[in-house]
Amino acid sequence: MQTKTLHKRLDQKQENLKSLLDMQDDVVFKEVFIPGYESTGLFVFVNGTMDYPAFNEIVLDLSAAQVETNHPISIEQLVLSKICPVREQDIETYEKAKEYIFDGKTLLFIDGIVTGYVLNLEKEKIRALSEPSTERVVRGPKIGFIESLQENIGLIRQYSSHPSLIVKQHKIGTMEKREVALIYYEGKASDSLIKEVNQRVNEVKATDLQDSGMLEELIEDTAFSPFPQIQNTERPDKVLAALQEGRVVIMMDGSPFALMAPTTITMLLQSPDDYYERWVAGSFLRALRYFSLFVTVFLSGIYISLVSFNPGLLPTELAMTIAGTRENVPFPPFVEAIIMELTIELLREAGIRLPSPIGQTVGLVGGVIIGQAAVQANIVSSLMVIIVSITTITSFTVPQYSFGLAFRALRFGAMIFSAVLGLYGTTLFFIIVISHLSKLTSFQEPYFQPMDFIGKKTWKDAFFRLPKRKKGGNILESSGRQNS
Amino acid sequence: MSQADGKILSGELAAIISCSMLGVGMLTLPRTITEKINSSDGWIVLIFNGVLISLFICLLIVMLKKHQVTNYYAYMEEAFGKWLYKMVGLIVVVYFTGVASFEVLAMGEMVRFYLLEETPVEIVILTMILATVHLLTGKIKAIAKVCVFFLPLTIVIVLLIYLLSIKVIDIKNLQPVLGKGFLPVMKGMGSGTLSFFGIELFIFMFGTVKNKNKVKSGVLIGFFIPVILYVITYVLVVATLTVPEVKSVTWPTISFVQSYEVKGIFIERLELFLLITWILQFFCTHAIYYYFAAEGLTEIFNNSYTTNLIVLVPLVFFLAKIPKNTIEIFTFSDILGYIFPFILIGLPIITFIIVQLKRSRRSG
Repeated sequence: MQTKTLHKRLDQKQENLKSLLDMQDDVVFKEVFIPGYESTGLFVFVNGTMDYPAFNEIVLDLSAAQVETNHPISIEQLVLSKICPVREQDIETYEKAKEYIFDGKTLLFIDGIVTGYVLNLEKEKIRALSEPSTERVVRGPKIGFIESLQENIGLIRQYSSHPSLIVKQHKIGTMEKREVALIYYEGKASDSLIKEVNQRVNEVKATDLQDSGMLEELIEDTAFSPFPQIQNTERPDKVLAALQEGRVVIMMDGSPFALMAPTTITMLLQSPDDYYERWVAGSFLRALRYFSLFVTVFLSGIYISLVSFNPGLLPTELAMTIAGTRENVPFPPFVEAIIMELTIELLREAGIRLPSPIGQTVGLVGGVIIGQAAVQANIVSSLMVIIVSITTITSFTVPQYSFGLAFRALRFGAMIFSAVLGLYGTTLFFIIVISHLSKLTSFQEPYFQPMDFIGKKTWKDAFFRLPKRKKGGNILESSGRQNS
Repeated sequence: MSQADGKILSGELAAIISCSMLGVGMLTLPRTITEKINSSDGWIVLIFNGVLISLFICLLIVMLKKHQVTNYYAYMEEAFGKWLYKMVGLIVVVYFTGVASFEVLAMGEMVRFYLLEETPVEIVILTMILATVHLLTGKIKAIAKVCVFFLPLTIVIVLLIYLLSIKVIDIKNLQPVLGKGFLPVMKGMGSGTLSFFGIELFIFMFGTVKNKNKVKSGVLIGFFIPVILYVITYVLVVATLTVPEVKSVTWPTISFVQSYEVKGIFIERLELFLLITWILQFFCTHAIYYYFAAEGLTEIFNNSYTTNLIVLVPLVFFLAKIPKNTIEIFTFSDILGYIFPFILIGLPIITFIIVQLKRSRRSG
C-alpha cells in the first residue's frame, strides 16, 4: 500500500476513503454544514466506538458558528478552537486515516483544508467496579480491578499519590497491539529487576494477548514447572503492598489481573486480610495454610504407603479400624485413592463450568451421594472418602488459585511415588518437590527462600504474621525480600 | 541477591555443615563409641572431640583468611604444582565420591531394614542418586536452601521424639561416670570419626561465603548443632538401652526410639518420624558430598559440571554396590575414616606450609 496524501477537496477525500474502506460496513460518514463559513465538514468513525453526547456537542458548536465581524478568524482557526478538547493529532495521508479510524478515533475533514483531525471521542466499554470474585476477604477493601487499563491505573494512582510511583506504558503484540503498563516505585524496585522486566516484556512476540495470563507465560523464568512464578491479583490493595515491597507490577489492557514480579512462596501464601485482622488470628490462619498445603499433597500418599507397605507402623487399634473398613474393598489402596481423587477432581471441574446454582447441586450430588454409594457398594473404604474430602478442602485454602492448582496436580505424583516405594517414595517425592522449589527463580530472584523462616528480621512475617507495632511499623519493608 | 551468583550466607553455610555431618553417624555412633571404650562415658569422648575439632577449625580459618583463599583447588595448585595437584585433587574427589556412595548405601540398608523389605535396595539407591542429580543442577545455592529447610525440621522432630522418651530413660545406666578411669576415654578419642564427617567441607566452601567475617561463627554453629545432638543422642540411647545392648544392635538410635510407645497421640510408633527425617538427612549428606565430588572434577579437568554430574551417577552407584554385607559396609566406612583426618588436618596444613614458603620466597 503506497502512501497517498489527502486531497484538498472534501468529495475527493470521501471517495478515496470509501474505496479504501470498501468492505467495512460499520464505518460511518457524517457530513456537517458550517453555515457561517459556507463550508462542509466530514466526520468518519466506526459505529459503536463513539461517545454520542460529546459528538453532538461538537456538531452543534460547529453548525452554530457565526463569522464575527470585529475579529474575523479563518475556518481553520474556528474548527481548531471548537475541537480543541478532543483533538489528538493531525494526519496527512489516507493510510494514517485508516489506521486511526480502526483505532476507535473519529476523523474530521474540512472542505478546503488538506489536514485531517483525529478526535478522541472514544467511549470505553467497561463494567462497573465491583468486588473481586477470585480473592474475597472478610475484612478489607472490596474493590477490584476491571478490564480497562486506564481505569486500573487510575485506581492505583488514587490510593498512591507519591510522585516516585512510575507508570511506564508500552504497546506489545505483533498484530493486535495491546497496551501494557509497568508500575513500580522508583528507588524501591531494584534497577536490575526493572531492566529484566522491561527486557522480557519487550521481547514478547505474540499476535494477540487476551489476558495477562498469556503474558505471564511468555515472561516467566521457566515453563517447566507446576508452580506459577508470577503472582496475579485483582485487588488494588495487594498491588499497592507489592509496590511497597519493591516489586514491579505489570498490567495489561483488557485484563483485570495484575501481575506482580518477582514472587516467592511466602507471598503466595499470604492473604491481604492477614494484615487487616488481628495478628493472632492472622498468624494462626497463615500457619494453617502451610499445614494445609502439606496435607493436600501428602495425605493420600501417606495413607497409601502406610496401608499398603507398613501397616505395622500404625497404632494397633487404628490399623484394625482401617483393616475393618477395607475388608470388602476389592482394590489396592492406590487404585482406591486414584478412583476417589479423580472423581473429586471431575466434580470440581464440572462445578466450575456449570452455572453457579447447578454447579452447587452437582457438587452436593457428587460429593455426598457418590461418596456414600461408593462406600456402600464396597468400591472404596470410608476412610478413603474422608481422606479425599480432607485433601480437597485443604487445597482450597491457598489464596492464589493457580498455586493451589499446582499442588492439586502434585498430589497425584505423591500418590504414585507412595504406591511404588512406600514411605520412602513419599519422602523422596517431598525431597524432589523441595529440590525443584530450591532451583526455581522468579525474575532471577529465588522463589523459595527458607532463610525467610529463620532469618533475623524475616521470620516474623513468613510462617506467622507477628505484630508490626514498631517504629513507624513498616511491615512491608521487612517482609519477604530482605534475604533474597 | 540473585540466585545465580553462587554465594552463600553464613547461615546457609552453618546449615550445610550441619546437614553434611548429620548422616549415618548419628544413627550408629552410640554403638561405635561404646564398642571402643566399653563403658558409658562416650559422651565425654564426644565433647572432647568436639572441642578439639572446633579449636582446630578456628586455626584453619585463620590460615585460610591469611592466604585469602577464594578457591581451594586453585590454592592447592599453587602449593603442589600442576601434576601433583591433580593427583591430590583426585584423591579428594575419590574420597567425596566414597562418602557419597557410603551414605546412600547406608540409607538403602536402613530403608530395606525398616521400610521396604521386598524392594531391591538398588532401586532405592538409584532413585536417591537421581533425585540428587536433579537437585545438584541448581549448584550450591539450591543445596543451601534445601539444607536450611531440612535442618530445622530435623532438629524439631528429633528433639520432640527425644522429649517423649523421658519416661524410659534410666540415668543410672550412665553411672558411674568415668568408672573405669580416664584411660579408656583417651583411647576412644579416635572413635566415632564417622560422625564428624562433613566438617572438612567448610575448607572447600570458604570461598563461596558472602561475608568472610562471619565464616567462623557460621562454621562453629554448623559444627556444634550436630555435636550437641550427638551428645544428647548418646546419653539418651545408652541410658535407655544399657551398654551391652547398645553394642549388639546395628542401628542403636532407631532401636532406642522403637523401645518405647507413646499412647494418646495419633501415631504411637515414633521411629516413623525418625526414619523419615533421617532419609532427608541422608539425602542432604549424600547430595553435598556428591556436589563437592562433581565440583572437584570440574575444577581438575576443566570440563562441564553437568557432564561430571552424569558421569558420577554410575560411579557412585557401583561403588555403593561393592560391599556385599554389613561387615564390608563397615570396612568401607573404616577406609573412609582413614582418609578423613588427611583431608581435614593433613591437607590444609601441608598446603598452608608450602604456600607460605613459596609466597615468602617470592616476596623475599
